[in-house]
Amino acid sequence: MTARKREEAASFLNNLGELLGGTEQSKEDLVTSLRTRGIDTDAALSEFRKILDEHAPVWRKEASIARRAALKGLDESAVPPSTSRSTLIETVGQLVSAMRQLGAPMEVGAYHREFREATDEDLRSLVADLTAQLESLKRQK
Amino acid sequence: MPEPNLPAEVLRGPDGERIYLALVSYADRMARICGWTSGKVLPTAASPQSVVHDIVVKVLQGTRGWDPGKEPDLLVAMKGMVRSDIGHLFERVETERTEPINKSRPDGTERSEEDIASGGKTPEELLLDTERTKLAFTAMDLILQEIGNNEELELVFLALNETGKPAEISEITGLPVGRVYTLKRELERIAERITPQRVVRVARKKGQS
Repeated sequence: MTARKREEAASFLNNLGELLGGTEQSKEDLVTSLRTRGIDTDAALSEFRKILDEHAPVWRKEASIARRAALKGLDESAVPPSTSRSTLIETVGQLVSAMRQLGAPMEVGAYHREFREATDEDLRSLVADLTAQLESLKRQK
Repeated sequence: MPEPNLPAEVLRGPDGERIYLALVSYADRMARICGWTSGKVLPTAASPQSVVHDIVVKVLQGTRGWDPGKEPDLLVAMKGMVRSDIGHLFERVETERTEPINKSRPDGTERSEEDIASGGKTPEELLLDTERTKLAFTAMDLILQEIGNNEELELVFLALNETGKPAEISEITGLPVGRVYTLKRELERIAERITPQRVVRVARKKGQS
């Protein structure tokens, strides 16, 4: 059996794997294809979300630390400690909307997803951070 | 400021779930194809989904790297990892071949290790390579048999010698790309019918005839 024949077979099967596995154009097509093969796509996606919650939120902790470091020069008294959590969340929404109106590419959904697990301190520092960014955007306009 | 976690940004983005499902689909297919060339299925401790799970975790943690400069598409980069990991899993489950290498030449003299080995491979590795290739061609023959007289499917089959990308298959065959996707689904059904056990059985029969 020559090396050439081995390479031919390997190349064919790699191409077949490429064609059959994951060249579907949409998530819906993938779901259909996987379910046909007996794979529980709801369980798979649930598993994926768990992975993200467990391993992707590292950015949230790091971003929180970075935010606190950056805010050393900012006046955190602009956000009194007594401000309620619901007010903080509402304020974040208002700030994000204002920034989007000024053209900043803000993913509102991303902020709202993280609120469930953010501490009050995180939310206060986020409000201070976004307030500073909004002021900066207004000055640029 | 901490370095941004690029894979996390992509996987948390709007395409994240599609990427994950595409990886599971690809892992499932590669497990089937590797099964053909080894005559085995994945060990019960592993599954296509567990392979993808491990890879996604390691990419998010940074213990497996993604260099967007080398491969800008995260899905393509991770498919390479899937292909590599599944290949290694099947290499580990392949039982040792216990057939003795025939070292005797027709004239009765014995071949040396150097005569038998080529490309730095041991005799056992060469034998495994030969076995895998025989099984691969048997699987390909079985696919062709199932294709039968379907000329369009045959065109796609032949194009697979060059590429696995639907757009490129469309160019090579002249078939509209939408038609290629339809024929791909037919090939999927064929692939499902070809089990590793069937490939081994047919290869053995061919070897005996």
